[in-house]
Amino acid sequence: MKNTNKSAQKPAASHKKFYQKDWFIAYILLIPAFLFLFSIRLWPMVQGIGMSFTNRRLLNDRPLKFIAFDNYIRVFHDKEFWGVAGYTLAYALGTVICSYLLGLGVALLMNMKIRYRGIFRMILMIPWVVPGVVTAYIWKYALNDQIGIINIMLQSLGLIKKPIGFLASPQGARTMAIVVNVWKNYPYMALVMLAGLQSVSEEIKDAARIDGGGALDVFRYVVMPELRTVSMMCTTLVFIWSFNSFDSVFLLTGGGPNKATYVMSIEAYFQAFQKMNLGYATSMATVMLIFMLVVSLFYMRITSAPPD
Amino acid sequence: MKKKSVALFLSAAMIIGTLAGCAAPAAPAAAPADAPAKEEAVEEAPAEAEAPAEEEAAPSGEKVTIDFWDMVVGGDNYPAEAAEHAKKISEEYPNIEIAYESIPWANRYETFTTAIASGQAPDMSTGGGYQSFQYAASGEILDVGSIVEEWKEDGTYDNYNTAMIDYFQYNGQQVGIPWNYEPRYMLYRADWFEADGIEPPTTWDEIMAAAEHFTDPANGKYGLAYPTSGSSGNVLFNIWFGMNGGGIWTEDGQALDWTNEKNVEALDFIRELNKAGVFPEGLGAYESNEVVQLAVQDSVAMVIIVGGASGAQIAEAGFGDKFQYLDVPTGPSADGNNGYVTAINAIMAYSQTETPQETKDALKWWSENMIDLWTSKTAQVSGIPVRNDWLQSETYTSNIADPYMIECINRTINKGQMHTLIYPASNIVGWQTQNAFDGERWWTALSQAVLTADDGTSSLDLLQERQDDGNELLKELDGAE
Repeated sequence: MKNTNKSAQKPAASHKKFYQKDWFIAYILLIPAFLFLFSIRLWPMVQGIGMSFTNRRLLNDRPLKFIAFDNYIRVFHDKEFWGVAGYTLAYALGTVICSYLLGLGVALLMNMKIRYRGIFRMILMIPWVVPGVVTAYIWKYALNDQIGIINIMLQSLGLIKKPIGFLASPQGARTMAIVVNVWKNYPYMALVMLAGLQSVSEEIKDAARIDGGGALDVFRYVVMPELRTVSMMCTTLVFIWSFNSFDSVFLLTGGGPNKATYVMSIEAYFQAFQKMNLGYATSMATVMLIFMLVVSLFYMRITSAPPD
Repeated sequence: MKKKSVALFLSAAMIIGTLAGCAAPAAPAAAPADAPAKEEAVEEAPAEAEAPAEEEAAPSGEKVTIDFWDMVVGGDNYPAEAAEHAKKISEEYPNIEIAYESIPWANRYETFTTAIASGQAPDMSTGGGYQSFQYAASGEILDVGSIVEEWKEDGTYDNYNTAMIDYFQYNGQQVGIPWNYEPRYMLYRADWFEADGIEPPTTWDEIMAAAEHFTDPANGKYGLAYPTSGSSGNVLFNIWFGMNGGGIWTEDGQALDWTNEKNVEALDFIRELNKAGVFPEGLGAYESNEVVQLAVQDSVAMVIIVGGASGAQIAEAGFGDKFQYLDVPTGPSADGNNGYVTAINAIMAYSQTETPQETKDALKWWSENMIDLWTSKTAQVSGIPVRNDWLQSETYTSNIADPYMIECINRTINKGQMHTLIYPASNIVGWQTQNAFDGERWWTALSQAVLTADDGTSSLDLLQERQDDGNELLKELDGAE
């Protein structure tokens, strides 16, 4: 019977010419989008990678030469690059961990049945919707040692005797750059986690409680496993955004003091547009690209994995 | 499996592109003008007022638009007033109109370089003091020597500080027309000093003593503040070298000399001030507006500023009498050659222009007619005009927005105590290197490094790092041996 059915269906499908087939039409329809993406995303990327194998400078003030992997060798021997890479990683991981914990906490609160929940949720979203430039300047002034609200509050509460120059010391500036990025990103985490929390079945939680589980047990053994996929997805995304981040750090600290808050995108920018070493800058960007490609593959696997 | 991997790879690449775009930046901030020059360029140069010569109207025909990128060389109102002023060119040149674009100092180095590299240079621009030399070295600057020749014929040349015009000669070309110079100087709270019976400091020791005297962090009072970040922070720092007679070039201009004893002493002194706690805690991140803010909220006894907008803002806030101009304090090794420092800025034309004659006409017109902006209290044009007739005219002196400028001219410039940034040299082998120090914000980095360096790093170490990197730059950019 099976064989008969197969042979009855096969000819009907294969009778279509190739240009009538669904896959062909699908590819045709994809062409405009592909060309658009290719011209504004992929082609510049390919050009950039090609440039990383040359001595290209921003001003064409010397002959262009193919120098193979010289730029990459220089990148990997550049102490400053490794210092910058280290801080970039710390910046991205610090942001992910802190904004995840904060976002989860806020999501748990927002998931409780409280009055004016809608208003709180709206307020919660403010840091996420404020443009990066505004965020940077708000914080810059809030952190000012003389007129900044944070120093004024700390002094009023008697917690400090003299103001703190948050952005004037390397450690302070590095920490504050992460804090500001956490402030910017935690609402996103909270929102996604809140959606995840709302999808956790009340019946399963009730069942766990009937089985003697306390609030902490329910959270640990029922809620958290349900949030696994959504957690992985939003932490990966925030990691990618933070790793590529430029504006929030640059506008807050300008990379200072004394280059203490250089992240990789700032370093590549300076190499390209200040030092005019386009070849070297693109090799740095390519290293970043490869690293982010790995992270993105990880992200793709998570999002394409079947639900638990 | 293979197909799946390829699909996964492509998707990942697209996601990266998209996400990178999402995280991609808004353009950031910060690098200002600096200019060098021959020492004699800043000497007093008297001249009689003389009306600009009448120009022949450009040939009639199709209207030519000149793209003019003008730095924000004044207060908040400057861009709007300058744009309005640019429209007046049609009164003299009916065939020319200026497409005026205001360019912030932040990223000016990147802005111009990118525009030139992509063939999108403006026809003419103002800019950093070394900018015209740098781009001239790569053949991107239009020779405007014909303007100087015309001025010599009609007498306008004599109204200029001619040493400053000569200063912009490079490889036999006139690579820019100077229009202003921006002094950096110190102010002190005269009322505080007087009330406490302290004389205005004349030496670094006295600066230290006064700064310590007035510092009281618990009550929000500090001895000294200056910008260390942003455009002003970058161009201002070498005033410390100037006060001690130092500089970063040898006297013959043939080599870099970051590590000389005078510079080491200057950094040591800043570190002593820092240890003594006379700076506000956030100094290492201050931009000029934060220093002005500190000044006008009664929080600081002495400030170092870039003359122009900052001085005007202090005066506008009602502190014009409280803060007084401080004569150049002497560092320990000054040997009578100490001074404040200044940068000379030029208007330049670019060789990419398709209308060189009209561009030169527009440049000449702007240079001859800027007096309207100089005498506007609201435009708050930075620095001091290069034209002596303007400088000495009642119209200018009675309208100057920064009241300290006149003091600066009388008490510093006229005494030969205003140095250029390449002092003690009068010409140097590395103009591109010098421009890179400015554009790559070496001064900002050094300024912040001095404040944040640990005890194990000596001032000489900090300077040696600049010396070594500078020598590399000199080889790379200027082909020095």
